[in-house]
Amino acid sequence: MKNRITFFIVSFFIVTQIYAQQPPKIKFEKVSEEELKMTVYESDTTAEAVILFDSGSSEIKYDKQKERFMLNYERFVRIKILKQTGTDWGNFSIPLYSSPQNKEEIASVKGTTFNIEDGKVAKTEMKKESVFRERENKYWEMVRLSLPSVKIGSVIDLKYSIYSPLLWNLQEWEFQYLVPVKWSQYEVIYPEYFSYNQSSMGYHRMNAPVHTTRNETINFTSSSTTPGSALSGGGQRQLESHSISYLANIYNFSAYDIPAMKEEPYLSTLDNYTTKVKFELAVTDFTKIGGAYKSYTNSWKEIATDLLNDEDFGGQIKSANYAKDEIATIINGKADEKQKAMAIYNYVQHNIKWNGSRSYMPAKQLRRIFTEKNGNSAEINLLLIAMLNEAGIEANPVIMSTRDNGMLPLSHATLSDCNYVVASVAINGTPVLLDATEVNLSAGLLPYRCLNGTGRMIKRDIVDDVALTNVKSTSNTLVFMELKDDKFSGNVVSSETGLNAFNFRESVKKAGGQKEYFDKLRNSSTDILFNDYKYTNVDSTHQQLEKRYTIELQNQSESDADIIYIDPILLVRTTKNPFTSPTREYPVDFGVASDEIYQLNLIVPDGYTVEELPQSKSYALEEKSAIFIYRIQKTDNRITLSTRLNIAKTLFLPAEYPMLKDFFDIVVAKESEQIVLKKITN
Amino acid sequence: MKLKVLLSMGFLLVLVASLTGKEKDQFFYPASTISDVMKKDAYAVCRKYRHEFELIDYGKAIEKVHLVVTVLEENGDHFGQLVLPYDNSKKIKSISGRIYDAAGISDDKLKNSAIQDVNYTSSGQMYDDLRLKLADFKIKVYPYTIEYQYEIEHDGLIGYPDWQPIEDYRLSVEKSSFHVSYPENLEIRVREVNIPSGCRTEKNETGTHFDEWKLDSIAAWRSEPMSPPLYTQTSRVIIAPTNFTYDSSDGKMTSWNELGKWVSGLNNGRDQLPLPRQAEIRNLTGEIKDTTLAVNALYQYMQKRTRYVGIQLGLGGFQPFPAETVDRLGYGDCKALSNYMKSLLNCVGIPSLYVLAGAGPNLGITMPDFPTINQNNHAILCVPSRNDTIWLECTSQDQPGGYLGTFVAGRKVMLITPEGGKLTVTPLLTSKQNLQFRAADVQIDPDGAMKATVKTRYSGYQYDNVSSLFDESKEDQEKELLESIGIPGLVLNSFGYEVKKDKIPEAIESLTMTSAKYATKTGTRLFIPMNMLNQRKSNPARVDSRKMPVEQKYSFHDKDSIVFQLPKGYQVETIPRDKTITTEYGDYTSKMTVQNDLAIYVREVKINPGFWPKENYKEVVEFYSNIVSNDKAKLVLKEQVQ
Repeated sequence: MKNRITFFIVSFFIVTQIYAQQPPKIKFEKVSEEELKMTVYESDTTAEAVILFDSGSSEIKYDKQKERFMLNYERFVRIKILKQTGTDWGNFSIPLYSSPQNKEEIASVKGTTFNIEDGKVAKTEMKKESVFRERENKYWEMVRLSLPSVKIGSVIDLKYSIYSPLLWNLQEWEFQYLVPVKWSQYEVIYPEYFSYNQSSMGYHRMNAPVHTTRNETINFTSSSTTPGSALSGGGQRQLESHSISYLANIYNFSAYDIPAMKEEPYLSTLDNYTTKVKFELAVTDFTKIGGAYKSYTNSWKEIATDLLNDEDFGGQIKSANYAKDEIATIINGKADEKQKAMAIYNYVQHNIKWNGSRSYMPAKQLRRIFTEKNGNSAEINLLLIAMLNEAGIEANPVIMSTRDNGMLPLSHATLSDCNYVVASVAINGTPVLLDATEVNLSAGLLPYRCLNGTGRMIKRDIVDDVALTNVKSTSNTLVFMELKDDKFSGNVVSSETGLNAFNFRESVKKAGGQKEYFDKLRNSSTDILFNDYKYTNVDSTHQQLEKRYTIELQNQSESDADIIYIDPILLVRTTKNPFTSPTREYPVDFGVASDEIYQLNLIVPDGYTVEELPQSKSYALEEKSAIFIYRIQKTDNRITLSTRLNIAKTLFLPAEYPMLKDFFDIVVAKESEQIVLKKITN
Repeated sequence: MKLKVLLSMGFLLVLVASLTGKEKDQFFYPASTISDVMKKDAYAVCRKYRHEFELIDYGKAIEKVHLVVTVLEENGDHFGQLVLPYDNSKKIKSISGRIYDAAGISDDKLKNSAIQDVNYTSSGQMYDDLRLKLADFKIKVYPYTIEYQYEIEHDGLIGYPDWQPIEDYRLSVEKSSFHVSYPENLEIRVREVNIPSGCRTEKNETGTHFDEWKLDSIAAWRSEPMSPPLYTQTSRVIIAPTNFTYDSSDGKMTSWNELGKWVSGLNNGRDQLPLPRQAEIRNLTGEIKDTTLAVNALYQYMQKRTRYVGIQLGLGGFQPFPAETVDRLGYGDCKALSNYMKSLLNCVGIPSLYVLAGAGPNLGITMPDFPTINQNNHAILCVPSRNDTIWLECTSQDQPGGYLGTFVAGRKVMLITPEGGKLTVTPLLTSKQNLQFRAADVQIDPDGAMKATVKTRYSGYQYDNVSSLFDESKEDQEKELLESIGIPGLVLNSFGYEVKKDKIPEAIESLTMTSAKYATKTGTRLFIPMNMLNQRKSNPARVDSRKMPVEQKYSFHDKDSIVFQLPKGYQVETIPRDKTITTEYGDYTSKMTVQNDLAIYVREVKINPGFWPKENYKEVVEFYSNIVSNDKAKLVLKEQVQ
């Protein structure tokens, strides 16, 4: 399984060059007649708008006044509006980092809309009244703007630049949007003193990046400082003026005829398949000019060392002195390490509330989290690690990226793409992953959001890849049914494991209790009347979840009818194919394997004989990636039916989609087959 | 992505004076003292709520609130959160919060730690000058108790606060009170809704009038299907101005007429269009004599030239942008676009009226004899005519001219005439107009495959069953149709829409499709589902002891006529029985006739609008569940013995 996923990712992260196409010569506000008259985008006639040209650049340059390197980002985008629904492409939101210490500044915002009115080109410029700047929170501001006179047929030109002191914030570039893009290019220029990890990804091909260099010179006036500590801004005062020459690296990225992104069901995140290029600051090296060398991230080993040396991360997980008394109470009477670990996990799950935000880095001191009893994912799980370590049970963090945050790149180690952390603890020599953000998770089970490839264990001098997978989710449902007092009735026992059990427990919690959950089920079902519910181990996540009911069929044909038709799949029936679209762009990603078993024991009523039974059959996809088994038989007066739906593989490529879709069609059709009983006539 | 990370890192913390803790050394509202009656159906219990409203002058007031809530379980967490919107006319003078455990012991460390200041830009709004103070103590150990106190200073008031002790489902109330005071020389208006007698006390003291309401021990409500909005059912006191001052504009609210005058004043002089535009408009409608046609032409012109962008600033919450601004920018909110449309019509001599209306869950004017500003939350336009008044929703770029949809239909609204406000009702379409009529020819193969030709006419509100598809690409239309039809193995061979954008809009959908797995083959039998395209899958959930009356606002009429051509080599074994259900909630019939190799299925459903007492709900559920089970009927064929 793991190997297959890895192979797949490698194949789609590779950037291929077919042939280079020259960039179009497009200038701001020089709109061609062809662009204005265009009514449909030939490559995608369904598009509501098309990005005709998107050009960006990021350049790191020395700022003499500020006496430090600064980052200048510029963007120019031209959009053609083709449908009424496309007019929203005339609204933009641009985030700016803005804290008391560091501010990004937006400059030269210019927007112009071109229309053809009465056969002439009408040009409407955006004024100040259409640009709003709002503070989102302590760190971010949002510039919102709406271009004027945007309607069907409009061509919009927008440009702006952002001047930033944040050299880590070298902006990524997305080549792909929810509308098609005709041409997109990005130029990144930075001095030899800097190096960034670049990662390009996505489903659509980019042109091969072009790397060139050029010489740059910094001229110092008499009272300038050495750029040796560019990031911090300070440096040694120099009295005489002089100049420094350096090499600037220039990278040019481009892509053309990029199709629109499309939302599909069972996708990890659309973001994973968007064509884009990202940057992460790796090293600043000023040793050539007498400055310092600093590495930001390099290998996972170094990241692990940095994190463990970090006061907020490594500094907090070794012990939890503040929780000493509490821990003593929690593990009191627990015989072995396993029991102790489970008790502490259980305590954190039930006492510290997740505030819904994801992070690998605590924002607050864990000591405070312990008393305030709520925190982000890092705070909760690092507190769990600290408490386990305090109790003498070795626990380590595993950092990762959640599904909606995209996969971690394989090309290089990166911390900035991580957004989550869980605990790993060795129980009798076997590592078990613990996430304490959810009350209803059992030890070893990850929530769905975490099932995303590979995570990294953070341990001194050792880096371990940790597969972020779950044991398969199972359900096993057993129904006994007979005709009693003129009604088909019987009982149900079912058990669930893995995420199935988690989901059931969450539903009970959401309903507000077992009775509330049952009432909801009973009140909304039409064919089956449920009674006498009994749920076992709803609150004990480490024990087998079991559900029991007695049932009575409603709206069944009269009990003395000549012929009785019975739908034998009473529960957990697949009534609808989850895949209805004839085509598929991106892989189907279930996240977790599943295995559902259903069994029915039906007593044939007295006076009736079995006229017809569905046929036993099984279906399997290649390599048993999905299996459906339908087995039915009659012995004496008893009909026994068992079905099994097993999805063993979690990731299906678009090429496998038609088979997967057909597979589910077969399941739906087979599960709607009926049993026919006939009255015995003497 | 970076935004998300940083959002989680911190918010502005507001430091304010601590509570004047009288109860500090005692146990504060321990959860153990809550009675079982209060716990029933409740996610949270309001232990104490005291709301003081002190009117100083028509434009000035001070509001003080003290509340204590015990949250019983996680689903009730939102009752422990405080959201206070504010803007230039509404200042939050102080706000403080404190949390207690189940025993009522305060956790001092948490005092005020969770109060944030955030920007408010709701979905659909591009810019709004409203900000929020948000307080939220997140705790995982239940029950816990939260106490808040805050004070608001108003400088400019167009409406006064309401008092509704049961503010939402799943909240019970131990004690709640509302205290209103104002100088005797000022006047305010009071309306009680579902208030039992004996909870109000009044007195006059030193030139001030004091009014007070108290309610104790109110059990929680549960949300129930097919019920009217909660605010129409629980106890409520609404107070409203007679005179008001808002953003240095004065107005009277003693009648809708007066309120309308104020709105009219705000709009005054905002209907000027640039001269070239005027000429263009006159040119556009020059040849058209018929008013309706001219209105439609201008409406389509407006739809093409503008888009909806929500912008609310100061008085702009009530005053539209000038028409000239909309003309220049090509966008505006509901007020600005309605006013713009009015200006276009005005330019060619068609008089129209600006209308304030309730939209969506806001039922519009429910107290016709008690004018307030927030019984309306939307603006539309009305072109009056003796026999053919036209209503225009100006924020939509694809709605047919004169069609309002269910968004603002059938509500009391205020027309803004030059003489002031006048009430009227927006039209409500009936079951004669809200149709979904379908005819299908289906050929069934011996192996269960089918081939079908389907024609469906949607009209009135049922036009909106499909209207969102019209502007979509073929590819997306296909995806959505496949998803909504849901027949296994379905392949669409062709599909298309013919749309008539009339006052009562109509769309005709034509489909041809096939499926290899429509009928189920079991051994020698073939099971053919009769109701191919309009099966009702669920009924409203049964409710154990219902509190709310039953409401069905809109009426519909569906008819499906399907002719099945049966496969050779089979004979009919079982024909589902005909069914007729006649109730005051609606009618249902399904009929199956077999003639030679044809099986003709006709199913009809009519849903009646109405308002019934809660006791009727059981019958309503039964009506719908009968439909659900009957819709599953299958024709059973058996292979002929050779």
